[in-house]
Amino acid sequence: MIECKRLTKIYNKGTPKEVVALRDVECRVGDGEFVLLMGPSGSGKSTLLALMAALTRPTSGKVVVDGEVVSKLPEDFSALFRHQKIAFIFQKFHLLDDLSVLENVALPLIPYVRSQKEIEARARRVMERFLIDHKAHQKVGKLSGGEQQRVAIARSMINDPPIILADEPTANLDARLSEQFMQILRELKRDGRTIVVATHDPRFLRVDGVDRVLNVREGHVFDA
Amino acid sequence: MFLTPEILILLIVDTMILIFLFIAFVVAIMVVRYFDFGQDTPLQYALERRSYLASVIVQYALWLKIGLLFYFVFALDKLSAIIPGAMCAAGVVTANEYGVPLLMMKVVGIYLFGLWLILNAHDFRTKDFHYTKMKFWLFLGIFLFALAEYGLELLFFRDLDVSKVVSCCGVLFNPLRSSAAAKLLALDPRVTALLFYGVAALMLLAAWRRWIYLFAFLSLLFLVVGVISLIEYFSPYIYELPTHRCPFCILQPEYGYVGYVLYGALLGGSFLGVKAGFEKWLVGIEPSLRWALVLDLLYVVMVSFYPILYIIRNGVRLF
Repeated sequence: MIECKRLTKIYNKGTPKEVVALRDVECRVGDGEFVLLMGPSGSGKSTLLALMAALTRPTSGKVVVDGEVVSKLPEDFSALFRHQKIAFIFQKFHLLDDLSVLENVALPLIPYVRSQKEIEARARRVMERFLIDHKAHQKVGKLSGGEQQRVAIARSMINDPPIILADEPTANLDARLSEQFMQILRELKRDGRTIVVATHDPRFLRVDGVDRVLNVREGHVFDA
Repeated sequence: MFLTPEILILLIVDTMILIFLFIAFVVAIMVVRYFDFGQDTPLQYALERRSYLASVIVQYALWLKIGLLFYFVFALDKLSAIIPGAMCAAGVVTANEYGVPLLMMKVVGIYLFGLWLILNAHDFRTKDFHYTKMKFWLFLGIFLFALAEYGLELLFFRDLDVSKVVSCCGVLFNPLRSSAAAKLLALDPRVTALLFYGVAALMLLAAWRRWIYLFAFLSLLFLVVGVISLIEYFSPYIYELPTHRCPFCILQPEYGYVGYVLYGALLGGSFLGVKAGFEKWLVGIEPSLRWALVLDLLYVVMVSFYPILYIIRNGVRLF
């Protein structure tokens, strides 16, 4: 369960460049729910996702995940929280082009798992699941957009986290690849994962399994 | 005041440290007044961020201060070449009334700074900033202490006078004179050695039975007894001269700078022993005594080596 309580995020607070990204947001995402955050660019969707993932700290208010106030975790603990609970899929994938698919997928395990064998076995398992295992030793920079996204998904899922957060995941994909991605989300939802997708892509509204849509407008969140 | 490269380095580094500590001091005042982990207000979030930054600043500053103690002693030793009459750091540190209190403050500082660093390390291991308020309360005291030490350092260097003849260690630590150091030397050297080995044995017993608080107390005592017995009993063996009882000449190149290793082991072992007691009291953990014992034993073995070697070589004891 993800709960946002009176969540406010102000960038460059107290300066002429001050931007209120979110103001007193109250929302809740239940376990196993598939929720869309919809709204125009700059409405605060990405900020809300980043706060849910404890990637950034709010100005006030809090984010509670499974009873733990993650918005107040010190850095080491928030990294551990993300490692254990969150799969974050970025719009631009954030892969390391000079590393192979296998190396990119295995990256999140390196600080936590000592055995090279175990790291490789787990990476191969997740690559198989997301149909990218045949490219294991290819450099990521040489892959197509769709393949790169599969690598990004495999990397985010290697720890088998219960929560998946995706920020504009189809923005760089064509219609066919977007459909494939939505199919993957449907499968993950069937596995019982909690999914929150920030998007302004209306095709998501037709995806089976979407439970709720939250509209984000000028830093406020409304149930659609 | 006259300036040598060593004095300049000390003053510049200490000034920089003090500036950083002052920044942390301002944050510390805010933290002790307003920090409340249960709140999720803008002020609380700002304090959590700032307290982390201030902690990191203080952490590096205090590590530097601990290292500076050894550089301070090294600087005193170098200054003995300029101050007339001084043969080693002993003459310089007693050249005016500020030297000995300053050296004492620097040694006490090691314990204070070290305990703060331990508290900080435990705080960083908690999710809820458990010791943040406590460590910043302690830091307020530490800052004032560091400020006083800095003032004393300025006074000490200001009053160093190259035209004034000072006493050398042969005079300061001569048992026949009436100085405070000499009065200390009125003790029978064999008694101090006995005390030293007695405390060391008790420490081993306390470590074996896991009497942590006793071990911590004995660790402090070990420092005091260690320094006294070093002056009284062991240093004449190191210098191979029964009348030469100086705790500073062993820092010189003629003796292979062995003093730095000896004092490092003595201070380190003593501090880690005190740390064990502090951790048990504060965090409630059963601390490891391994490194405290390793350093204590290293010190015991090193200082014992000199009398044994002397007796084997010469067939006689000095005392």
